[in-house]
Amino acid sequence: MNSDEIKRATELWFCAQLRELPGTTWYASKGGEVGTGEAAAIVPPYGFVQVTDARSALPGSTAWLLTVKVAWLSHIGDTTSPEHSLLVRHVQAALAALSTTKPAVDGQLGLAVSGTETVASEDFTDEEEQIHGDVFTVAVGVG
Amino acid sequence: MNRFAAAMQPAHAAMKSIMGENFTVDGKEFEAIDIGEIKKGERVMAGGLYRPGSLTILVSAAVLAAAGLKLHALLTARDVPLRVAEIEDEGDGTHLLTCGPAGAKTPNLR
Repeated sequence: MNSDEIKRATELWFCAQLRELPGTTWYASKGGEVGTGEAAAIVPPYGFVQVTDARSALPGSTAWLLTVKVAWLSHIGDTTSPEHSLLVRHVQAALAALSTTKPAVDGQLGLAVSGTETVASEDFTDEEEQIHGDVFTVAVGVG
Repeated sequence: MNRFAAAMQPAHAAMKSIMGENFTVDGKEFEAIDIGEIKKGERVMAGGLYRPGSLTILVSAAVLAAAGLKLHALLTARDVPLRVAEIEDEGDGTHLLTCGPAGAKTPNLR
């Protein structure tokens, strides 16, 4: 797989894992679902996954090191709600659990995830778009 | 209800009989006195679709309370999902809701 295919497969893999959280909806940065390709109208609260960096581990290697941003986003009027805080904690716990279940192989996506590690978290606010979120930065190794 | 609001009630009833229109909150229907012109569209963005939309809805105080409408509440009018951006007390027993899009553009997290 090339860089774009690795990014897409990784985003979809994260979305699939995080959809296990009850009451949550997750979108990959390029949208759509595996097989359907349909785009959805997005209304907060929702989860968003975006690969922001992809580098080949070694020249000629099929292993990739990725930086993945995983965000839980709510409307700015709902960010102090207990539901938002609770879901952010659940996302954090789900990401921590992913780091212990390795390696993971997804035959449908053609992806082998050798490890994940949450390396940072931060708040995000966009007053113009009236949206607020908690963003986790995850280092990921895939093949 | 103040005397001005009481005096205006027949006028609001007359307005509603001509311009009244339903909107929904959590699947329940409520009747507005008037719903203004809607502006809507659809754009592709990272993650999916963004559907901008805006309109004003004039409701009685009773409907405002029954629907539980407050700032940032979600509602649907003319099949467009919207979010309450402003609530203005008109002083005559009605409230003007200014609504914007229910959705928001996805952020660029880079």
